[in-house]
Amino acid sequence: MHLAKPSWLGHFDDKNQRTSIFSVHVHPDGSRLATGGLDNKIKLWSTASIIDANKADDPSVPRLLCTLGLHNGSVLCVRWSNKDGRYLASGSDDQLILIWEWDRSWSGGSVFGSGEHNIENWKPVKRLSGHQSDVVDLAWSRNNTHLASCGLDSLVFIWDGKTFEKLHKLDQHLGFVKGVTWDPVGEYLATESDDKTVKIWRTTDWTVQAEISEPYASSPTTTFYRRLSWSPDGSHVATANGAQGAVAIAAIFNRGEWRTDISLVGHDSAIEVVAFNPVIFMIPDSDDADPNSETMGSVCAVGSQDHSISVWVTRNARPLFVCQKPFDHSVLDLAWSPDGTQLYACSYDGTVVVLLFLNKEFGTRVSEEEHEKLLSKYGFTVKEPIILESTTQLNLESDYAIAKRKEKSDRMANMMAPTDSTTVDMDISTSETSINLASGSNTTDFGSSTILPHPLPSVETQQSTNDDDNEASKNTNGVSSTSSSSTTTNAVIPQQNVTVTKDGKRRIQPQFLRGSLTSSTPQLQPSISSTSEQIVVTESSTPSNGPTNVPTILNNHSKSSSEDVLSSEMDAPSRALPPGGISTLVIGNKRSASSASDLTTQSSNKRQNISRSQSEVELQPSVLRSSLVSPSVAMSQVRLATHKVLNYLAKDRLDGATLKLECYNFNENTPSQIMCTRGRTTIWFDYVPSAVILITGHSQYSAVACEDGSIYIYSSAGRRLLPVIMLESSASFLEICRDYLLVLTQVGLLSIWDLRNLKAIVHSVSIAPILSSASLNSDDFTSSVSIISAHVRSNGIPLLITSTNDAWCYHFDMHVWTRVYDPRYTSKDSTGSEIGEVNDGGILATLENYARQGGARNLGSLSHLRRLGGNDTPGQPNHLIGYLENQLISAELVNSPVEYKKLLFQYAQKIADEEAEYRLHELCIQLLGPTNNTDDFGGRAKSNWDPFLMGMSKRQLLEEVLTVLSSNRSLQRHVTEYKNALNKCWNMIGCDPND
Amino acid sequence: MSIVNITNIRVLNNPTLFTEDYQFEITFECISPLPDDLEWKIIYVGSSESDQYDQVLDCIMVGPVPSGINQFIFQAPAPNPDRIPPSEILDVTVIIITCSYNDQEFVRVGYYVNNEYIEEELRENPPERVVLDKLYRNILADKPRVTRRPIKWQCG
Repeated sequence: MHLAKPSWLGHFDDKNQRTSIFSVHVHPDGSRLATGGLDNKIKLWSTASIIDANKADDPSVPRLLCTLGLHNGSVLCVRWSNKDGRYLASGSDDQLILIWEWDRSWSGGSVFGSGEHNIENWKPVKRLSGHQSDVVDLAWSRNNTHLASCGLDSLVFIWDGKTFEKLHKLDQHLGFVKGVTWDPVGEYLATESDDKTVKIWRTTDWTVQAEISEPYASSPTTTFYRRLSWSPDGSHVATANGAQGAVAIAAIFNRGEWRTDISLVGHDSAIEVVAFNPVIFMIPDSDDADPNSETMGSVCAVGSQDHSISVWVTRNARPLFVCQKPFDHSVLDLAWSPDGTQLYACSYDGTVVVLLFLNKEFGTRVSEEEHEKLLSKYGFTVKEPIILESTTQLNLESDYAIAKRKEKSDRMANMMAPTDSTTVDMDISTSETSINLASGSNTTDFGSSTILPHPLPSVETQQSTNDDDNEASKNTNGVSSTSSSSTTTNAVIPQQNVTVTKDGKRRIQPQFLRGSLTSSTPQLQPSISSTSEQIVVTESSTPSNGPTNVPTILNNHSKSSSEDVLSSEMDAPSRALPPGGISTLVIGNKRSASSASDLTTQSSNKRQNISRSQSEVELQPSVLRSSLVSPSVAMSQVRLATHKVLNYLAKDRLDGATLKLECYNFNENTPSQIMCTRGRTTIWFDYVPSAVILITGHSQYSAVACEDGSIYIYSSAGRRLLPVIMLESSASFLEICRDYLLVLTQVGLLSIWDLRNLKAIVHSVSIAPILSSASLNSDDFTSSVSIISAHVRSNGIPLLITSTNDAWCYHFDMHVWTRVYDPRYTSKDSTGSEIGEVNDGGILATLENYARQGGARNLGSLSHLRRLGGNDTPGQPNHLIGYLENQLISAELVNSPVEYKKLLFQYAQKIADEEAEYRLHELCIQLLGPTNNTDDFGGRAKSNWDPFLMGMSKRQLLEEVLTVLSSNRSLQRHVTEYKNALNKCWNMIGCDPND
Repeated sequence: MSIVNITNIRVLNNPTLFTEDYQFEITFECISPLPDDLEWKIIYVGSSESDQYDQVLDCIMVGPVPSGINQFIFQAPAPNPDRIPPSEILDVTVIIITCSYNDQEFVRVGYYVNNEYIEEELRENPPERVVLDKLYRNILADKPRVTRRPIKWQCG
């Protein structure tokens, strides 16, 4: 046995005084030692230089690897995660636990503002708050699935070892909890507290299995810690700060009976810490006659307030050895190296001692397998790896790995997309920023002219600023006497997105460089989406094209949302609708008297005004008058607001270019004029007798709706496709997509016609169900739900969005309205929405974005259900699964194959994660279809199973779904079964799936 | 510890004329997304004797802040020399960058700034009245002094 006490190892305060070290721990690979000190810092040391004095003096071998100085209080505990040692957890006076990870992307260097030089760059990746007082001790479970922490708030917290979510709070201790340890088998957790008990918690339900109090009854509460330790074979727990009368003992009790069998006696004052050697040894029986006999045993180290350390071996009544007073103060922590040959100890006096044992000093090591076998005798298995049953699973798994890797690289590409963007659009100032940054990064040296006098103009356009900057830098060159370099080396200040907040402060959106280590990808999404939001804001605040006239607004609108619109196959709304949408009335529900009278006054006017906000928006095309309301509206239960008659209506970019539809309304008795122009050439024009209130169209068809309820439909040449169509009331919405024309009338009847075949797709369907079902949610009559937009999808399905952000589709076959999007599942916090990220650009994603932005009226949000999954109701059907299923059907209904596919894979992944076998069967059978040979032999399946879904082969989808499902081996039997069935199908129709 | 940590600040134009704008490229890491904006300030310490000569050069809100590493450039006009005691314009003073969240300051970075003439003649015989357009400032960019203080990050 050797002892080393390096004098250079320590924590020092501002005056270079040595401060206490509260905790030590060795990295599982044995190469690093972490110490936590009174100076609020964690230091990582190279063990090589501690153990070997020669290396310590070698300047090429670093002693200090990293200083982690972000705690605001003394670091009371440091613990590496087991096995790979990927994380370091630290607990501190500042009531926080930090999780650190090595950031290899950054090759060390000096820490900003500290003057310390780091060789390894460990960064905080998680900040676990919850303790209301000092965090005193931490412990990782053997397989790193959990982290336990305890503190002076008498609480014990259990955190997830991967996501670091708070899982459980154990609050049955009545005093400071000063030590925590896991059962290596994973069945129990032990904690020791100043309430003079040790509690054994069952990890299955977190109730107290046992409570031991007898050895601690007379223990002093003056110890810093009560760090206890579970023996590596799981059979015993050694505890600190026990007392037999006035004698300090370390009480060891056994598993199962929880009876104190053994006490380690000998220390003069209270015991702070006990630590079992992680290795089990075959220890020679010294007193036996047979020299070759040996017994399996463990080694335990004890550190005490008497400044001494003792090391004990099972079955020996005396300590194997005692290290008398290597310190000037209490021993506060002990840590064994993973190979069990080194014991590190730290003390309140601020020094660290390492005891080096010879290879066989304790006995021969018991192999890892033997060790596992020992543990397995307790019959509590955490989770065993699943054995492969066939090669199909392996093939699928490798497919899955490839797909995953590709996905990752795609993600990386996406992440880098804003920086690589070559299209420097005027609006996209963030991408501009990054480009300029790259070019400006080498201009920090003092000699070159990096002087940039111009302030950042906040409301000028990009173009002019660049000019300004260039000019300015030229000027500077002229003035600056030291400068000799040319203008090209000038650092150009990147254009930053500056907006003005409500309280008049300027606001900059930071440029997102990269995510944090563990979870970089999801966070990127919000920054992108919010960028686009911001663009809109800046645009409208620009004085040059401010919100003065409607055509500009329309332009802006279509420009900023054109991508959304294109990708979601929606026609842009024909006009900028008011934020509240079109107001509606529903009569016939239970209503209070006041609201009923309110209604009569409105209808007695025989006019219903469109909501006020709309008239505010559309100032420029002046309102001629309110339009006439047909008597049928007064009779109707459902009433939608009427558009006022404007003197001018226009719809731009019908074909995405210059095709424009315009309409001039004149006073009564003068026919209205409709004009279709391309650039300056008029393609056609027409006169209609009644005032036009709505126009729509694209390159093939145009349609106008008139005040009197008539609708005119024109071909691209201006030919009237049909004689006048007459509706029972005038239209509130008129939309066209491909061959489908949607009309929603004031009485709430919806029709869709196929213009090519001149057929009705949907005929006068009432939208009352949508309105009443939605309005039941609010008692307030005036805030009755309104229709924000009505669209028709490219397959002819109508899609209505209400002001509560519900989206509704009409199911043709079922003849009912179905809600395809429920805003209550929208997570406000866009970072948490994994769905939104994946479905970027699709119709459902658009809806989600919509709901997130305008979620003012969101009813009780259910988004937490979606995010939490089934965490709080274990064993219950997972909410996320339900949500995905709903989204899947919705995607199918609104005919969004891309989203469907993405959702399907997400769904499959979720099924795999949750091992939802029944769902797996349903999904696979659905996709596989009938496989019965006799059925298929005639070349005609008897069932009406459609092998295609939105143009995608279901079996092809299944092929990919199975790949995803293979990620969980415990489902392999089912996966293989379906894979085989699928292969049979492919063979039968004689086609290779990979073609 | 703090949710937001400054990982680096680059002083972009240094040394430069006294009257030039200050430009700092600030890189910070955020370990969980913040609902509210960060408020950054640049303060020029006009006098070593009294804080009444401190000038807030600029104050800016930064957001939205996603978790990850973020960067922005903070540009602020030079201090108004009329508000600095004439005897204290020359020589060493301090410029401070602060960051607050919900009106709680959690980090403060201080730099020494040296204001001096470059021309030999002016150096030896400094004129009675400070010649501003010949005065240069040099920020001691590699010696930032960082002070952190714990604040409440969660609302409520």
